[in-house]
Amino acid sequence: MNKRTFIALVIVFTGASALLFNAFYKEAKDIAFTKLNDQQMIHAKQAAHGIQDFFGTWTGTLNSLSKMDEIIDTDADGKRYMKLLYEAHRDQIRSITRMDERGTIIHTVPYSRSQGRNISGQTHVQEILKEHKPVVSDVFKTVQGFYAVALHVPVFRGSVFKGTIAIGINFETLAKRYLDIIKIGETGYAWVVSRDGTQLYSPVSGVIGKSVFENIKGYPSLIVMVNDMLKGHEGTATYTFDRIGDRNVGQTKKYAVYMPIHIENTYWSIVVTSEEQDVLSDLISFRNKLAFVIGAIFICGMVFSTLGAKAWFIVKEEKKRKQAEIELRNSEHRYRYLFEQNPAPMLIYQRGTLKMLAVNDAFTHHYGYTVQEALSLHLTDLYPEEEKNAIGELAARLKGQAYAGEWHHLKADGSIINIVARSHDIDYMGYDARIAVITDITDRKQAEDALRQSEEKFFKAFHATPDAIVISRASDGLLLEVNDVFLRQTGYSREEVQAQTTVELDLWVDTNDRERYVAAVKSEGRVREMETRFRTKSGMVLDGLVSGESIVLGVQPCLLTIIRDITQRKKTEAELEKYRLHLEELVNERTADLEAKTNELEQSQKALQLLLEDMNKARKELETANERLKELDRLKSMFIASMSHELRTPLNSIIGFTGMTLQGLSGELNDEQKDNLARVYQAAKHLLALITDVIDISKIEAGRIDLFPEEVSLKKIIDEAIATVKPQLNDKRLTLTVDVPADVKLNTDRKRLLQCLINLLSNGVKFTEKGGITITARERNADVEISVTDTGIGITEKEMPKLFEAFERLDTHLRVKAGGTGLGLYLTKKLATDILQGSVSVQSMEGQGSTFTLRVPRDLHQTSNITKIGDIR
Amino acid sequence: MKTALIIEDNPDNMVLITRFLEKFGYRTLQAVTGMEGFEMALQKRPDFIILDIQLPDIEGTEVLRKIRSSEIGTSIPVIAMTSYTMSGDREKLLSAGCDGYIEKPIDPERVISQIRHLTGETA
Repeated sequence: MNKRTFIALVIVFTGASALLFNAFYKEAKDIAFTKLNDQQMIHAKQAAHGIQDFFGTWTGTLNSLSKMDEIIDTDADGKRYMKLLYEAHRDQIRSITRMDERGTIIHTVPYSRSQGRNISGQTHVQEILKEHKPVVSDVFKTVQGFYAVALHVPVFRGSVFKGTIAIGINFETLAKRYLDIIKIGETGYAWVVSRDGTQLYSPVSGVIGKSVFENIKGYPSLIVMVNDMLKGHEGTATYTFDRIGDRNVGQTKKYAVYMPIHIENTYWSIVVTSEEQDVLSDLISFRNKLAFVIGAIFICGMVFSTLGAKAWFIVKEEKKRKQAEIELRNSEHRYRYLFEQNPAPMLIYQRGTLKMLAVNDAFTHHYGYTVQEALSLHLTDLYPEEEKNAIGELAARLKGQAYAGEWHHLKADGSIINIVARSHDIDYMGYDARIAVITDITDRKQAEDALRQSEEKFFKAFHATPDAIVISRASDGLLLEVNDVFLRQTGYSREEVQAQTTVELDLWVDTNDRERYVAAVKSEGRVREMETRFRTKSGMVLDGLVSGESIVLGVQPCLLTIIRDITQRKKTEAELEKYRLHLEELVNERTADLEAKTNELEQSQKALQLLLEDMNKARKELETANERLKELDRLKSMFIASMSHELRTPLNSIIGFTGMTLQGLSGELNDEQKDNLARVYQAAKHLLALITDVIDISKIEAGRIDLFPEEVSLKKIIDEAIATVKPQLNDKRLTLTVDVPADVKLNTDRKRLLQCLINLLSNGVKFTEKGGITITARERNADVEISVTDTGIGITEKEMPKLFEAFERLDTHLRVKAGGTGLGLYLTKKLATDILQGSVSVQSMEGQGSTFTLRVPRDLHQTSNITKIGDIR
Repeated sequence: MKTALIIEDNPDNMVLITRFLEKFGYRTLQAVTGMEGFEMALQKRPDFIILDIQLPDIEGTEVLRKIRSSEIGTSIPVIAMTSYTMSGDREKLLSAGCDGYIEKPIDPERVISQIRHLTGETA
């Protein structure tokens, strides 16, 4: 409740209480004054009735007397009666008088001196003499000095008027009897005036007998009342005066009642009056009580009203507050929903500390943090190192305004995303905070980058491809964009092709081609490698392959056309076609070439071998030679090794291509072609084997071969060697006998051992036409002995010493038939002795067959005389 | 269609192997130096690589080592190719991380069966 309401309430209550008080008090006052007047009236009436009764009684008494003859005659008895009456009522009457019809006093008691006096001059006497009806005199002061009133009653003899009988009434006695007793309250009293305005009675001294108007001079309200009284009226009045006699009593209000007192022929007026103060003093206690009650009512009213108003206000405020609370809750709920369910990541951080206050689900989901982790972060933790300072400064500055900017954020896994952050101030749970909405624009950025890159790529491709590219309007072929290649190929400058159509440029040699092309692009959406011809500025005709795609630039359909200049290719194709026609001839030619080359190779190989032999001889001769010769030896081996590699590379090509062609991978061959190629193939392979062997030998001789001992199963390695000669064995229908223990293991160089075994086996097969081959293996102490026995041509005594030398088989009649490099046994011996630390020997009888025996240690330890230098190739 | 990367400096051999592989339905990529081959392997991720061991710039074994220590790791089979082998070459190449091994002159059938085996085209 506010002050104004309270003051208004006080005013209303004060007013109401005052009105109430006044109403009650006035009512009470009115009642009191009415009661006072009633009381005064009763008094006035009692007094009036008393005085009237007094006069009535005396009139009656005098009437009775007047009927008596003694009185009429005023004889002795009559006089005695008068005396008796006087004596009996001396307290009331001052005299009793008999007056004759002329107005002369016949007899009077007790003042006999007045007898004979004529009083007809007096007003009331004249009246009765004339009217013959009882009269009362005015109050008069007797010669004896007291105020008196005379009552005359007529006396008749028969019907003759014989004067009057009268009494003089002591007015003071009368007044004492009927008026002095009137006392009302403190100040109430009565006063009486006669019809002519003479003050007959008043408790105030010095006024009786005087004219009332003299007494009340200067009090108009009193004069009004007196005038009304003198007309014989009855009534009430109030008046004020300030003086009783000569005494100043202050301004006094008086309440008065007045009424006439009818006596015989005349009337008096009696006034009973009281001071207002009397009534008021009676009302004081009532007024106080009333004031108290009204005061109590006022206070209670005030208290209840205040409490009521307060209660009302409280209820109203409570209602308002509840409404506000509901609204707040709704708005909070809405806000929370907006925040938590927002698909965009959102966060709230405290300004100043930059501490994270809240994040939504989208944030935790997108960034990969748990809510707890996210809330332990500071804003700057989200930013990569190089942006931390900038965001810190920005966050310190941002206040009051909305912000949006592009930044990078770190996710929980450390990956960086491009984001747009929009933020504004917020009061969050009492914190001065800021809310930010994050938009991840990584994809957009990437898409933009990709688009830009793709545009760049297109632009680059457009200008960098070796093909001419034209973008033209589909409807009429208007050139919109061409690349430099186009300009170069057609010979036009960029200005010349501006706003030209391909038709205007006369680009198409055959305009039907253009129509075909455009129609195809329209129906298929694209055209691939359509052959056509173009005319350059200089009129030259170019062959072109046209590829096209319909694209839309802006809104107009366009053609992206790529023209490949194939003029050169066409020429080449034409040549190729020519070659193709002569293919067979060519193949034959080349095969012959190849054979010639092979022969040349063989010859050079021979020469090489001779050289090698020379060198070997030289080496043997110079075993004790100095370092310079060793160096020469090394150089020689290296030369051979690298030479062999160079020889082998083209051979590999020859073998590879012929092999592939032979397999029919390049198309079917006829039998003769196949046979020819097979010969080339075999020859090339033979040559390769030779070279390989030469390399091996030269390496061994140079001491530059690596040794790789490993565990080898004897049985397995022999089986492997047999497998390689199995086809020839089967071709010659030779038998094979194998006698090898299954559980013998060797630690040796597998490849080299295999090489030796294959050499021995293939040697055996080569020189055997019927019968078979027998392989026997035996353990011999720390060695293993492997024998290969054939039933072939055998070896003559003469041949024996040269057997293990290079190219020893070249001169035999079997050379062509048997094939072989002629280096086999030479190499085998070298391998067996120099590498495998073993030996090889032979037993043979000409025409009976031969047995080659290879003996190698079971456990091969690398020995110091073999230097490891890595591959020489 | 499987793609083979052939790293080979000899043009004849390159043509031979390319044609031969294409006949058998492989797509081919060519590189003539070790570094070029390595970069192409990284970029194109072929299904297998045929690697000549004798290359002009860096040794084939070095190319192999680079491939195996790159992102590719062992995801792409590498078949080494040499024109001449000595004892231990095979072991050396296999321990260097080769999945297969071809000797020149190439034997088409053996090479194809080896490739099919390594690329999982045969059971």
